[in-house]
Amino acid sequence: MQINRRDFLKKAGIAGVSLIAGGMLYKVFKGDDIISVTDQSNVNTRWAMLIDMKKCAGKPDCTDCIFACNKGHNVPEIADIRREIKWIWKADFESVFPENTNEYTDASVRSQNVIVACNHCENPPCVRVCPVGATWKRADGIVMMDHHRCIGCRYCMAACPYGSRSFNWKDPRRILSRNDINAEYPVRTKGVVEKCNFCAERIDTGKQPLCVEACTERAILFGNIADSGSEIRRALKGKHVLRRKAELGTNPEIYYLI
Amino acid sequence: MYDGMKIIPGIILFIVLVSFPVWYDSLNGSPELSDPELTHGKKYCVMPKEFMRSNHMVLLHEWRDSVVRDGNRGKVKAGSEAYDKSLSNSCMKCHASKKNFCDRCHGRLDVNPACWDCHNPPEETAHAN
Repeated sequence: MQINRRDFLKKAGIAGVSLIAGGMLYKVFKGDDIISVTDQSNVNTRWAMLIDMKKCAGKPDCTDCIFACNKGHNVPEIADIRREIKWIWKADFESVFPENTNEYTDASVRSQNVIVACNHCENPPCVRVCPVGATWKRADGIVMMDHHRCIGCRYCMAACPYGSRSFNWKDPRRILSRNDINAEYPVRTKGVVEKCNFCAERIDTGKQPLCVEACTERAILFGNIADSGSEIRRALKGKHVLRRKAELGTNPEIYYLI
Repeated sequence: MYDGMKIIPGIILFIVLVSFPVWYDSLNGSPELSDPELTHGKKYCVMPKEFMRSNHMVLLHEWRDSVVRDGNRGKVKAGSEAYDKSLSNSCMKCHASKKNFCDRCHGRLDVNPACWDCHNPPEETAHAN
């Protein structure tokens, strides 16, 4: 059998490319999937939040939860929307629940401003893309941020479908006034991403999140949704609740009663 | 030796320059190394003084990883008291002046840890200057 140099190179090339492509395809279809990596079936703590918009909408101008969070976590107030830092904030109904809005949605619903924060997704896209492990999901479901490791690449911000992450364009100490800083909680530094941490520092010591405590209407309920006897599970029973963009498969852990 | 008139003074000049820190200090005496100031009356730290002198940064990193990464916020015993694993909320409660505790050695050794970029140093009181 005769084979010339030209044919040999062609065939070797085709064989090489198909080997590599086959390996890639195998990984795509059979490799580790994020869903299986973050399997939650045998977890016994899973923190979640239930926000009752009926109670919240009674006081449309109230910002107690936002204020308490910002104060406790040294979140600076920045008016420029391209630079602002948000842990918990208000957004209009239609942008929070675009898939639950139609042209006949009642004005009373549409005009509501809904309280939003990081959803602490069961399948957090931000965690998937972080190249340095600065954000990760704890065993109890809290999506944590380690600002010591963050390199400020903002992949997580691009990945988050809820806009729950903010980048520090400026040193927050230049915006926060010295007397407003809660000395017990660190500020952030220029060039890191931050977001709501479900008050991990308080939950770990048996306290409720600041927003939950601050709400005089008791519109925010926080608890362990994996525990069938918990208050949040009882509150969910027999109710129809919404979650933000649940169709994306992120499995958000903030539930809304509308 | 060719060019001995250049090489030998060159070598001497080189040695003089390279050994500058040694002879400069031996002529002028080394600058005072002021001890970090302890502004508390407590007898016990979480670790012995000798360990802390050389390894406080290791301890702080371990605390950081334990609290932030593992959510392990248990307390650390020191004598009869228990402290949180926290720089601002434990260490700096006893060692209450950054200027007179941290900065005394860090400044002299030109070490610039990033701790205070985010963590809040205690307010410097007037007497601590």
